[in-house]
Parts: sequence; C-alpha cells; structure tokens
Amino acid sequence: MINISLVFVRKSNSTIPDFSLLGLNNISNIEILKSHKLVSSQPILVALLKDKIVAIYLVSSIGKINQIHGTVDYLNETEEIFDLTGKFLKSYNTISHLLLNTFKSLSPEEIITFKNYLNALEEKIFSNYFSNDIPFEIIKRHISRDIRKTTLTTILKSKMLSSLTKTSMPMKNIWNKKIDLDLEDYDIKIQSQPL
Amino acid sequence: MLEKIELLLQQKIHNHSSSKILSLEILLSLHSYLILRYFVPCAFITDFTTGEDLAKELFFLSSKNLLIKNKNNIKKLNLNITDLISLPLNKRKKLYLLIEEVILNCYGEGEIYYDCSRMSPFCDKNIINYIASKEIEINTNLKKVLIDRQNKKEIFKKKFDNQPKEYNWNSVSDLALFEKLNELWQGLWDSEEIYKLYSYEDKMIDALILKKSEL
Repeated sequence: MINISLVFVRKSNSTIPDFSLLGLNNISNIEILKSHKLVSSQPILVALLKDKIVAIYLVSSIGKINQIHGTVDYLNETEEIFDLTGKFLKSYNTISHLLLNTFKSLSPEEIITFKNYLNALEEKIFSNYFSNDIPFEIIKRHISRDIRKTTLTTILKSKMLSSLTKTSMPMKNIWNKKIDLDLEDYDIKIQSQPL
Repeated sequence: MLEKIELLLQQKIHNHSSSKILSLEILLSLHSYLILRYFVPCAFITDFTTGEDLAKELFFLSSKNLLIKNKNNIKKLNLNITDLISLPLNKRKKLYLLIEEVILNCYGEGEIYYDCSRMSPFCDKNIINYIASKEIEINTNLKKVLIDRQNKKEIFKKKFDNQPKEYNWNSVSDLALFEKLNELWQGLWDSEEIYKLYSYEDKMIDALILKKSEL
C-alpha cells in the first residue's frame, strides 16, 4: 500500500551532504534525494511503498505541487496524506521569521550581491537548528554567532545583527502555521500529526 | 467560529439568512483576508460598474483606511484576524471559494478584482487591458497614471527578475528581496494622492489660476 507523507528535508552541512526526511526512518533508497536540488527545511511530498520512495513531489512556497520523481501520480490513488511536519513547525517558522527580518535589514542591491552568502548562511542555520526544539533566545544566539562567522563585510553584519536583536518572538499562530498544500485537483484529506 | 461563518455563508446561498451580517463589503473584507490580500484595494466589478466607482474603490483610497475598514468588518464577525490569515491553504481556499459563490448568488454576475499592481511590480495583471475588456471609461488623466505605472512595472521587472516563482520553493533571502522590492514599489504607487493628484490635475490647475486671479 502506498503511503504519502508531507515531510521536511534535512541536508547535512558536509561537503558530500547526506539527506534525511524528518519523521521518516529506514528508507532504503534515500540516496535518490541527492539527484534533486533540495535544501534543508524544504517541504516535499514523498510516496512510499514499504520502505522505498516511489514518487517525490516538490511543494512550492504557495503550496503548488510538482512531481519530480516517479512515473505514476500516486496522489490520484490515495485518499489521505500524512502531514509529518507538525513537530518541526515551531522551529521552522521561528527561524524563517528571524532570518526574514534579519535579511530585510539589507538593501535590495545588497541582497542580490551577497545572495550566495545569504543562501549558504540560511542553509547552515536550517540544517543545524530546525530539527531540534531549541528555545527562541538560544536560536537567536546561534544565528547571531553564525552571522558573525561569515565573511560578509562588517557593515552588513552589523546591520543584520542589529535587526536580529530587535526581532521579537512570533505569535503562537504564526509559529504553528502549517505548510500550505494546494490539492485542488485531488480529493485528498490531510491527516496532521498532533503537535 | 469558522464553522459558524461557513454555516452563515451556506444559509446565505440558500436565501435562509438575512443579508445584514454578510453584506457585500463584509464579504469582500473576509475574502481579502482569506486570500491574503487584505492590504490590496479591491472592487466587485459588474456590468454596471462605472469609472467613478472603480476610481473610488481601487485608487482614491489609502492603505491605512483600507486596513481599518477590513479590520472593522472582520471584528463585526467576531473573528480573529491572525487566526484567519494563519489558516491552512485548503481551509482558506474552501471558504473564499464559498464567499465567491455567495457574492455571485446574491449580487449578480461579476468579478472580484484586486489591484495587486499597486502593491507589487511583479503582479501579472494589466489594469489597462482589464478596464478596456470591461468597457469601463475612466478619467483620461487617471488612465495616464495607470499606463505610467504599467510601464514602470515592466522596467522594474526587467531590472529585478526575482519574484517568487509559482512552482519554486523560495529561500528566505528570495522572500526578503521580494518584500523589500514590494515595499520600494509601494513607496511610489501606494499613495492615493498619486492617483488623485494626477486625476484632478486640470481641476487643480484651474483652482490655482482662480486663486491667483482672485488675488
């Protein structure tokens, strides 16, 4: 029987990164994730047959779904999707909120110029902290330390750190905000994991 | 609370409810929160919509007043705004499609139009073409402002091709850039004065001449 789950990807920070799907263990062909451009904290839909991934669907920032692996659209054959992201939503939404406010302290030109550095920083932060339930102030301290460690200019670091310090904790319904899934073409129920 | 709204909407579709609670204005405010466009001016366009109606609802309105209006309308329904906007997409979509059905049922054939180009240069909508397709006559000077806005949008898009792509998972830096560019754009085009000033340009010049002659 096919099981379809909404999960977060976690990519390790090593030079040859390892992938894992948070909430799913013992997948025999997890290596296939390496052939797709996935980043840490990216949500995807995976269809599993026993312990094997048979289909992968990307989920866009506005919830659009796009199949990138597998020849059969298993979403047509299923009645429910298991949302396994619930346990990690608080960390994910908190880090996103902190990073968004931090990056917005830069000008558009600065964001464009240093995009690769910012993406690398973002990837590192998500990879290291979002799978753990770390208190808000501790996450902030970790992000602050990671910003200081970058090779960005002192002015940029100072702007980002100042904005990070001023960012307050998001409201409860913001950090509990679920990942959007636009299932308009399918008749599927989403079964959420209890928080 | 949302179940209550859903029930009210269902009753309104089947003409079992008085129209006082869910007036067109309240329905549009609720729709704007569910579709996450509560800061974007919107109008319900029908065959009877005139250029003056359109100008009043889409352009001669400040964002501040629009937000106050939308917030007050949601308060009348005893709903929490943050609860509304943090609902999962499938729930929001179910409700806003239901609202569209109610509006069509109760207020006749028409279309809910959001002037997204006022808030973002990356909005694909072309208001000039839309107004022309609906055969709505608008003030010539206001039309010039809208053509100018449309042209500037193209320049902006060419310079910063960074809008979130529909089928992409966007990084936080992409979203930060997108929000910064939108804020920059809103600084230019989100003031009602820019539409009013130019639309009344001739009248203002007349008024100035009159004042001078009076002196």
